[in-house]
Amino acid sequence: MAGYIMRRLLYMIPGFIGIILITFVLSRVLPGDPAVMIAGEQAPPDVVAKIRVDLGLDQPIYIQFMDYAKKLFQGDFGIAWHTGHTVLQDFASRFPATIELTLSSIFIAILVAIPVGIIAAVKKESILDHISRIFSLIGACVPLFWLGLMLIFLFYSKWDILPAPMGRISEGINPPTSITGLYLLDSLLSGDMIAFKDSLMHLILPAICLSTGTMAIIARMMRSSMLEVIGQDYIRTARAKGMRESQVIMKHALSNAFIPTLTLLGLQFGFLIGGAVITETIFSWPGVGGYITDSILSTDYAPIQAFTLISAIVFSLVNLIVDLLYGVLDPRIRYE
Amino acid sequence: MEPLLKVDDLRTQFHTDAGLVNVVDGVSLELKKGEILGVVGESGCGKSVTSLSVMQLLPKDISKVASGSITLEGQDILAMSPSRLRKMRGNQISMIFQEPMTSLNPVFKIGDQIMEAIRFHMKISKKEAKVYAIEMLKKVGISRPESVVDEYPHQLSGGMRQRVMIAIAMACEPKILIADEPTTALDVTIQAQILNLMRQLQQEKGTSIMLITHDLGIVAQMCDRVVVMYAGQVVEETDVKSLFKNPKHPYTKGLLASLPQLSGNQNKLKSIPGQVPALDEMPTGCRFAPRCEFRMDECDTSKPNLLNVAENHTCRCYLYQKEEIPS
Repeated sequence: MAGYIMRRLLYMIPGFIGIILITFVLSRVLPGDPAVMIAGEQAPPDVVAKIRVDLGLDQPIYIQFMDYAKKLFQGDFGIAWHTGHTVLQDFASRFPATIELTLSSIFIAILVAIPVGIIAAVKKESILDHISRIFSLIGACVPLFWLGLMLIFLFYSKWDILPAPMGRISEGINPPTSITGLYLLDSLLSGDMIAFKDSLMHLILPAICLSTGTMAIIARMMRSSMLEVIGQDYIRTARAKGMRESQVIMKHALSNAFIPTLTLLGLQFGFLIGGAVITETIFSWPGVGGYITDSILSTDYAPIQAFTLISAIVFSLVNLIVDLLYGVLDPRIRYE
Repeated sequence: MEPLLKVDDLRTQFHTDAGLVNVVDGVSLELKKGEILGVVGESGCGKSVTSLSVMQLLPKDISKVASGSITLEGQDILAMSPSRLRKMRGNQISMIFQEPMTSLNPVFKIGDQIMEAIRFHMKISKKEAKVYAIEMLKKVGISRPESVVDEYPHQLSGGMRQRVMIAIAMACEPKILIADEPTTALDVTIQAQILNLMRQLQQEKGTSIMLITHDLGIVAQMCDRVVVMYAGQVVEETDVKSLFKNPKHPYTKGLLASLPQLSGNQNKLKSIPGQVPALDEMPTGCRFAPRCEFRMDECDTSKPNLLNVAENHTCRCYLYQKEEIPS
């Protein structure tokens, strides 16, 4: 087991090197000059030239890369020019917000998609199945930015049941004492129900918005793997033993059908990270996503590179965890 | 004596692309207490569907029992509520299947799968159930049962898994065991062990067994009485001795003739020409007529009934019309 994990971690390294190289090149191929962005559009050319020299941008690209890689190896992700802080500082202050958003949307997606998938499979070709199919199709197709704007329009502008899409908590309400950095969890842990309610109200729209795509795909996956399992011999055995249909489905079928769904959940994590960038921008969510959008718009290389690399690391680790979970769910899988 | 299980004029239909078809068409059979009844026929003749109809385990969305009756000790199974059916399954009637490799749930321990049935039907504690499960495993001839209870199906061989299936099926001491080709997927030495085990348990507990098979060798070895099915119908029924000594129906004769013989000539094996008719293209007359070497004119035009051709011997064939004895 430990050997397996070590091997998997080692295999990740070449991938990460590739990612570092590609993001470095791509961010430099993009149009836009960071020196101009820092100095301002109206700045005289000699000021811009001086900034360029200060940033090392006058050097050949391979020297810039060597310089970047060396610092990276020392754990230095560089400085975000548009905020003036180190990238790590910026990330540290924004990451909890993104984690809270991402985890909530995974939670919502699972909470809705798994029951929907099960019902659609058990009541195959029924009206419920058709409704779930239509909603999954819509959920998978609707662009995030449109859905986000529609949610804001309906729930905030039109019906006024949720607060303005500005940040994680209303102004005038103190954020809960920081324990995990997740407002919902922290406010619960410290018993601050006012902060809990308010941060929940802020979280609900972006979390729903981000969850829809994943929700749709998981529901469909759950349905198809459930249908496959229901046709298996051991399901007939369970029925022949006299098991209640609810036990047959929830115990015997679900424990097998959940395994492929878990794979998909791991893969969806990549989509969620990408989706978070858009969702955070729409809802002014103070997470990493909004920060990255700003970085891209101001040609700020360091945060873009750091974000891509960290996303890749998180994605790889999540999928390693998924693979390890197989072993828990399926006794046939052993890691050596 | 009232039979334990009585299937009367059962007609089970399936929705197919060609519309509703009768997969089982007017099957009647009886299972008496303590006997082993063989149900023989080639693939697709409706023997499994008959047994699944008895268990009410057919997929509801594509199949239904259209007419007929199935009674267990005088109680109408077709009229049972879902909860009554659950109490029957695994408790009064148990079933084992053809594929031991896939019949056990891969993600649960052997012990849990046995205990599930025990606890559901016998309402005993988890601890007692585990002791009982180990005892059952011992009874079906599994060595080191104490460790096998905590193992998963993939750690056992096919023969071991079928033993586990038998342990599950026999745990609640059912009156009837339906064994649907229980040894088809196993190799020959294991086959004999499993059959011996079934016979031994049957003799100990007096369980009635409905043994579905296409293997006449198994029938000869195990059964008291035999029902021969062809294309969804019973074509012959008698005790096992008469069947082998004095088969009546041309299909049964064909089946027996196609058995390889150890002694005598080494000629090519005989086979019955032609194929089983498709479900939606059943002949109007006798269903076996297109393949029958004794075919007469009336075979093509009208359906033969089951005739009493001798004592406790019925046959669905016009050849014996004159020999029929009043029942």
